[in-house]
Amino acid sequence: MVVGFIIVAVIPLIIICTLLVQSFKIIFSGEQKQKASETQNEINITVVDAFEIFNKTVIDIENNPDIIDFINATDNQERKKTYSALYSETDEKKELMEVNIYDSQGICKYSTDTLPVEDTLPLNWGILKKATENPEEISFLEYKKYLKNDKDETLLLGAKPIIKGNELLGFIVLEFHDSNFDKLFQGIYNSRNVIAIMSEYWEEIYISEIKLKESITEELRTRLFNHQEVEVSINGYKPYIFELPGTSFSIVLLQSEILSKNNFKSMYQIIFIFAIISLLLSLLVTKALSNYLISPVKQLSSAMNETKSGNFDIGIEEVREDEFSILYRDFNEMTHTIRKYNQQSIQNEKDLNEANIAMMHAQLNPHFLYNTLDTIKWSGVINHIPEISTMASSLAKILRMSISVDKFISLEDELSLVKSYMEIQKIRFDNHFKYECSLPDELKEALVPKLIVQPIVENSILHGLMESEEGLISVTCYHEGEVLFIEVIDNGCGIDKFVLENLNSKGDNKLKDHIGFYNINKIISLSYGDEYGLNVGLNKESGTRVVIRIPLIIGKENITLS
Amino acid sequence: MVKRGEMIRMKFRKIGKLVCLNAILLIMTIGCRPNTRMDESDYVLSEENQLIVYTSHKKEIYEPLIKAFEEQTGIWVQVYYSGTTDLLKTIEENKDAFVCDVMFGGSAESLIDSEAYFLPYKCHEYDHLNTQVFSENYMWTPFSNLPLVIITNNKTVYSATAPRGWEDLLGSVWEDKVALANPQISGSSYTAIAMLQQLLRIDDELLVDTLMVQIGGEGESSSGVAIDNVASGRKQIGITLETTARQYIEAGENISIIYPIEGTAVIPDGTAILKNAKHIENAKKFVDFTVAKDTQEMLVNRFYRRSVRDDISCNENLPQNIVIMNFDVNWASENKEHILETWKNKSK
Repeated sequence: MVVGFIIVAVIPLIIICTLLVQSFKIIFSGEQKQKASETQNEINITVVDAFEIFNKTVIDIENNPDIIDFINATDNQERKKTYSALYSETDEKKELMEVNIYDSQGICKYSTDTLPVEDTLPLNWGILKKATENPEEISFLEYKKYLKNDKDETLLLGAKPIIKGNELLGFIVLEFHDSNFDKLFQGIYNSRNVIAIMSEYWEEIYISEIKLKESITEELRTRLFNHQEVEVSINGYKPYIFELPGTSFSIVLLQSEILSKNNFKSMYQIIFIFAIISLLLSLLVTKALSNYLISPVKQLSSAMNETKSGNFDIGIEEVREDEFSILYRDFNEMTHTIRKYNQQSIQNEKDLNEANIAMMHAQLNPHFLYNTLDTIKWSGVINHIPEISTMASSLAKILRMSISVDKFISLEDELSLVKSYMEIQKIRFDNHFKYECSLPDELKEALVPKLIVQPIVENSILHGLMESEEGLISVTCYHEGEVLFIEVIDNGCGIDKFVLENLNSKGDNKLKDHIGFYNINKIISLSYGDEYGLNVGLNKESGTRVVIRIPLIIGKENITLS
Repeated sequence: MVKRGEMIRMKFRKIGKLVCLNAILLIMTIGCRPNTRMDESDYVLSEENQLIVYTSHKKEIYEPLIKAFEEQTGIWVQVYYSGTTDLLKTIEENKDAFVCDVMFGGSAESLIDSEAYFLPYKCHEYDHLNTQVFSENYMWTPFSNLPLVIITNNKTVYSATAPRGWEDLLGSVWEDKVALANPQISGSSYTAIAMLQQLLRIDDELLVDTLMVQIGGEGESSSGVAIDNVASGRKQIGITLETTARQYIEAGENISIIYPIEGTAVIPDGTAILKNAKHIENAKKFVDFTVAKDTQEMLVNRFYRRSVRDDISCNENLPQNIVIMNFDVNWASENKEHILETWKNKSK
């Protein structure tokens, strides 16, 4: 999910920004190209016009006999006249060029400048050679002076031989200085739009920006030789190269890139930075969102883990007001319930322990009792008093049973204990009552809690049959399905109604006198659950009827309290 | 049911990833395109029209010549300028690769040293050539004859006290006052030293010691700087080539030339075609151009050099007959390494 967030935050941003930058680049370079093309046109027109002027001037001079006839004149007067003719031809063009007249030997005879750039020019070399080879038109050749650098350098020479008939009279040589070019291209170039002129072999003739002297053409030339792309930016300028019509020269138009490669690089860097920021923001938001959604789930999960290890004391604070609060509430209720149940369980165990202890308190050190009773029994036997031996052995039996650790005994054993009890009571009470017991064979091995029937029988004797002469206590055992019933019926006076209500309510009221009932009930409910227990009622005719209901469990194994 | 849901989720993830990848690639290609949309093949210089030249000549000499050559032949020339020793070293280091077509410049003994890297070529004008030193196997072609001369600063040296020749130059009067370029850098400077040794017949150690005393160090960083120092007055006398001295005088510098009475070496410099040249035909044309009549006349008239041609006399401003010394160029070239080594050690 985190990855998803990140992608959504970063990728669209990068895509859109990059597309923007690219389209900007394209539009921008399109505009630059447009501008360059316009400037190119301007330059072309300017140059074409200039050439027309050059040509016209040269032709005028050629056709001016006042000049060409007096090339070799030495007379000052004649020379003065020639000069004025020359000046009149060239007056308006002073800004464009200087005009020199050389004789047929290459010696300069006249010059519109104070001094010509060269007093003599070789005939078989350079400009004059070229002019001689192309007599029909003006030849151009770049010029450079090496050792002595003039302030306003001569950069270009143009020459045409003056031929009359078949005779070479001399040469008209045009001198172009740096300032002439500046003037020519004035208005077109500026520090952002640089104009350079290259020779046919791409050597620099002129450049409008001094700072870039030599470096641009050198770079372009190198690229050409290395087969590299030529019209790529140099020094923050984009070069446009085009040939000057009617000449062998090329013009390089250098447009300063308003947005250089560095600018674009910076743009991309900014995009990158923003992508990072966006990424961080999205991470933060993801974190916050996950906290809001995930941490409650985590909280819940860890709380549940706690309960797994048995700790039910925990609960989750409900500070929120959404669906999670519902979950929290339910969870808290669950743990509360479980806690209560646990406490209840502990309490039950405590109670049982108490009952056990109470029972054990009732028991005395058994061995001394056994031995004494044994002695009494044998004494009775020896002295032929059967009641004594009967009572002693019955008592011993009862004692043995109540002392034994078995919490559960067979129904057969329980009823034999009751029988032993009854034997004693019969002797004590002078056979005033009878005892009947019926136990089907299949229920003999049924497991019952120890001393569960005896107290009830005792109760019948103590409370029910005190006044009777022909008392009868009958114990009947039967089962219905998985439930074992043990009925104790007496024909006594019947139990008190008030007491009856208290007993049956199964409440915690421990009636002092009927503590036996209470104990039995408790034992049964602890052993088997609340649905089993005692039921006390009045008999149909007279007397009391107590029914013990417990589950029918046949077997000899010990069962533990469930 | 759970499995199916998982599969669908995985599929979406895959598709998502693919889409992202494609988007990124798309952007990158769009990004790349505008740059290459410019017409790049408008300017193509074919190999047949090229010539690569290494030169140790000064710009005022090579540039006009190269430009004239271009005009005449239509061949585009790319020039690399540096000192002779430097250039020859580069050639040697890359002897199996192509570095240039023509070595234009360098005095005879340095060219002799490097003959192993050159291609023999007998130029068309060979029969018109006349030099003291030449290559029997046509490994290089002489370009101009260059006598060594003594120059003096006009302001500080009067003709009366000026040295008349080499022996005078080595006198104690001129200790620390002699300008001479470091021979490790300047070829012409080494030639001067070799010539002095042949004249004086002393061993390398003594020679180097003596010269260093006169120069006051290990020598100027170039022959141009050496002559500048004399022109400006920092040093009073110097040794340089006649042609350079004359050009300086033409330019108005305050120096004078003295032609040593003992005689002087006239060592030609030359042009050679490289063995590994790529544009051999063009190189040959260039060599022919350097000894063509027009070119040699330019040398004489404009650059005050002495032509290597027998049909061109020297510039009228130069003395026609000067005392020429017999210079054993082979010996000079054999001994070069040792002298330079000694010079280097003593420079520290």
